[in-house]
Amino acid sequence: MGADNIVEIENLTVEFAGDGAAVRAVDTISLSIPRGSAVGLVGESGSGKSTVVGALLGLLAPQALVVAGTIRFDGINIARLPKAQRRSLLGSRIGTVFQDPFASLNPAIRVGRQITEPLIRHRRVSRMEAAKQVRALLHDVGFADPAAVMHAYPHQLSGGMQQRALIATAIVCGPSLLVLDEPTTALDVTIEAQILDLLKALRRSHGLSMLFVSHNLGAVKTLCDRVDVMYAGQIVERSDARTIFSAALHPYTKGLIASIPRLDRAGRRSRLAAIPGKVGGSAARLLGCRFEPRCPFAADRCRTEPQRLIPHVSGGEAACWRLDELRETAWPVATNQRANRREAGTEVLIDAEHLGKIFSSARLRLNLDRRIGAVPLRWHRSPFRAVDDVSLTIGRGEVLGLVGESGSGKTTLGRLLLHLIPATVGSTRFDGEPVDAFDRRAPRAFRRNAQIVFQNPDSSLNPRHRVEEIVRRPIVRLTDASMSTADRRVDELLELVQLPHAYRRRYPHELSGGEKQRVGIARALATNPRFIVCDEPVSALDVSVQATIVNLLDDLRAEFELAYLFISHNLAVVAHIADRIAIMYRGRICEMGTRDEILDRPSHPYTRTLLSSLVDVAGNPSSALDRSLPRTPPCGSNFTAAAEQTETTLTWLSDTHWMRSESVPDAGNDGAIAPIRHKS
Amino acid sequence: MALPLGNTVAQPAWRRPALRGKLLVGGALLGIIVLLALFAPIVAPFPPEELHVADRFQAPNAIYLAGTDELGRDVLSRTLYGSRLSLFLGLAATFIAMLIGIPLGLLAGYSRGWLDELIMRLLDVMMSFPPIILILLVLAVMTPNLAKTALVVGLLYVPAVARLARSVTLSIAAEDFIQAARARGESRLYILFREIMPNAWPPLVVDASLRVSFAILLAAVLSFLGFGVQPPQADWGLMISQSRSFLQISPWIALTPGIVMCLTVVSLSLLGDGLREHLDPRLRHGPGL
Repeated sequence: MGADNIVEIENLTVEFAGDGAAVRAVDTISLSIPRGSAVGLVGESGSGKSTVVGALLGLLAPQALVVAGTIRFDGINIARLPKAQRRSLLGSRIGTVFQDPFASLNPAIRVGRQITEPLIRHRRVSRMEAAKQVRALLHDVGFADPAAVMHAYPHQLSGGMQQRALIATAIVCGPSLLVLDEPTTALDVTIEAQILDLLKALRRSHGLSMLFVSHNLGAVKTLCDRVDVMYAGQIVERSDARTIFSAALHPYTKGLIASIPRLDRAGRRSRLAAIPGKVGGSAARLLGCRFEPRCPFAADRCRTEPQRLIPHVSGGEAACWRLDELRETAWPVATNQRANRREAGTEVLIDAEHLGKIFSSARLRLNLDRRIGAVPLRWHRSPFRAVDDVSLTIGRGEVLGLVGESGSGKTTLGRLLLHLIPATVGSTRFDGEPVDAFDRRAPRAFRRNAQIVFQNPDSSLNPRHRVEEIVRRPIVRLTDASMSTADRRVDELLELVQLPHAYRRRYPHELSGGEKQRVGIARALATNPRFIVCDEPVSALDVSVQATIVNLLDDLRAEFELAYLFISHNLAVVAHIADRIAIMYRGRICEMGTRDEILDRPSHPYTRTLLSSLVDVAGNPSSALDRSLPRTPPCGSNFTAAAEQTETTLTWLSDTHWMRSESVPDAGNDGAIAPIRHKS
Repeated sequence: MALPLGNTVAQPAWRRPALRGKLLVGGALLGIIVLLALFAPIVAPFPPEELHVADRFQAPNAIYLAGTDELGRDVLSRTLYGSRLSLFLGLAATFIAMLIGIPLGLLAGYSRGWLDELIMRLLDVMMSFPPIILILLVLAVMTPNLAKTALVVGLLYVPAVARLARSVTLSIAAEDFIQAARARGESRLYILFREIMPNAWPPLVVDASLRVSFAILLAAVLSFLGFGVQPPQADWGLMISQSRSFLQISPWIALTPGIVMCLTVVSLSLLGDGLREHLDPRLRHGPGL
């Protein structure tokens, strides 16, 4: 191949040593990155994409072994290089940005030093000169005050700022290749959009080649020229990023694209498409097409014949022998089952009034009010309003979507409604009965009726309890059922969440992420509750799995007339399941309305920013709305004089749609927060 | 049986780690010592307090495998019987420390707030005394005996065990399954012992294995100072103490219990290290040992 490729990976095979047979994480893949272009590598967890990056960077886990293949960087086979030389490539010629910006920065070292260090080490410039260059670079990556950022410690920067600082670290030595491993996955959508914009700009201005690894096809599309789709250790499709959404070749890619929740009117009403099953590790699969067990188009030949990338007239390649035949065939979507769903009742189930939660901690603190530079040390109490004057109702069988970025108070609000934490002010009624009188020890009846599903499937199940113990416990604890009745109920529940009976005896680590989430749902359903708080139930899952869980929750709600508070940072997911949507910003609900009202007529500036940040299925920003909301940390408000005096008024846009506008009242107001009028 | 599901392609290698060398060697060595101590009446060639006045200060030979002491008692037999006392002390003290320390640590770590402060500050006060002084103080006002020594040594280790238990609890209490338990109104006791404890024990077990050897050494020091086991019984520490005047003419009297004590400590350390590797937090997704 020509020398115009900055990276050429040929027939790379990586195996992990296991108990018995070695597990092949990457199987004979070839991948090249033309100089100056950006290549996306997309796949679900377990597809081997991170292993490819590890092999390229020489950062594989000790039990991983490169069995075969060559990796050339700029014409040199780097797998053969001595370790020291290979290390010096990293940082100087290859820049890397990883997923979690906070974990990638050393919390004990000032940001400035972390960025100048590679420059001093690899380029051997003086400290003064390095600092000068870094200041200029920090300006390039979007910091208004580079000097202050250089003096800050990582925890003083927000997630988006940390990621910008990391990008600066990655490109400070002027590398020719930038490897991005899920760089925006840990960020809020509004920040994600900004980081993608930045990367796009840097690519042009610095002439970078990029390898962009992500599970997010939309993000890949905005940044890359070409997309390589990986499945089970192999590349199954290689296409132009601009056409992959409209003309995906491989069935797997079609499935991936179909399972992305869509915001447009038609999309949000339809049921999410899902890819059944999971990335299988079965050794028997080595012979035929690896995607065959999950593929709706599978034929006999798929089972017996290994698939290789076949070029297609469109210019792309895909590893499917039915390529041409399936060209026009779309991923099958289950017929619209949402039609027969019950209309949400008008009867109010949850009624919360003026809920507020203040966390306060007294400690010695760096006072960061003004700017990052000067940091007087002060002892002060810092009451923190996580949730501020929230009133809402949820009807019987109704789904209220709660959307907001991290730190906006969504989770706290959910826990307040469940009385897992005591509210500072406000009251809630459940089915007409006040619950607050019982404080933390809410009575059995309430606990039986109000349950929760968590975000992180690894954390939500006790790793030392078997599935059956996990699901049975709420029944034993909260109902009077006998042990044998409870056992029968466990079987019913597992069936309900579509898990095989044999899973009863399993421990959580023996399940995949989606299966764990199903167990979590079964546990929440165990006592036949009427209200479930779903706290980001799908955000830790792959997009194809996410679809199945959302569909499952939707079906269960229809079957049992469940009411959900569906918390998510992803408006598109919420759009699929919610009847009404509340947008939360800095501890307050800033806009609430029916789904269509919020999506079609967003009124609050923050709602508009949120919508415009979403990358739609075609990979284009969904609208040309303003993206430049003044960026302040999205946390709940601290007690400041200004916050105390902010007067909020609700503007009713329709019977069901309102927006909160805030204004600082005229001098002379005694500072009391004006009472908020809610329509009855 | 079918292949275990849930295996993704990149399943790491640690599913069922083999018993590692350290664990095996440490366990085997300790097992032998414990068995010898348990069966001392059968294994020991002589009763431990039987005097052989004619055979005083015998060097190791065919009859007295480890020689005899100043009263003609068989050193090997005395060491074997002494093992029972020393091992009992080590195990009992550790057991007491864990029995009190773990619940305190769990409670402090899960409750946080004033209860946490109260428990931890009280333990800090305890820790601020030099251990030997504290023990001597207590034992000086009571007539020393084996049970009391074990109790005092055990109490001395309570703060350390409690601190470890607390820090482990802090991280587990932040997990969502604890919230889930609270969402179904579980009692604090249930959450502590059914939800947290099963996840907290690996580091505690590792700590315990090392603590047994600390306790044995501390008990030996106390016996050496005369505050532990009382003659004519003798644990390892007392044997060494009593023989110190004869160290130059018959070193075997001190060496034999000394070597066994070393072996015990080494085997416990190996066992602890092995357990640590086996139960490493990164490997902790396994259902158990």
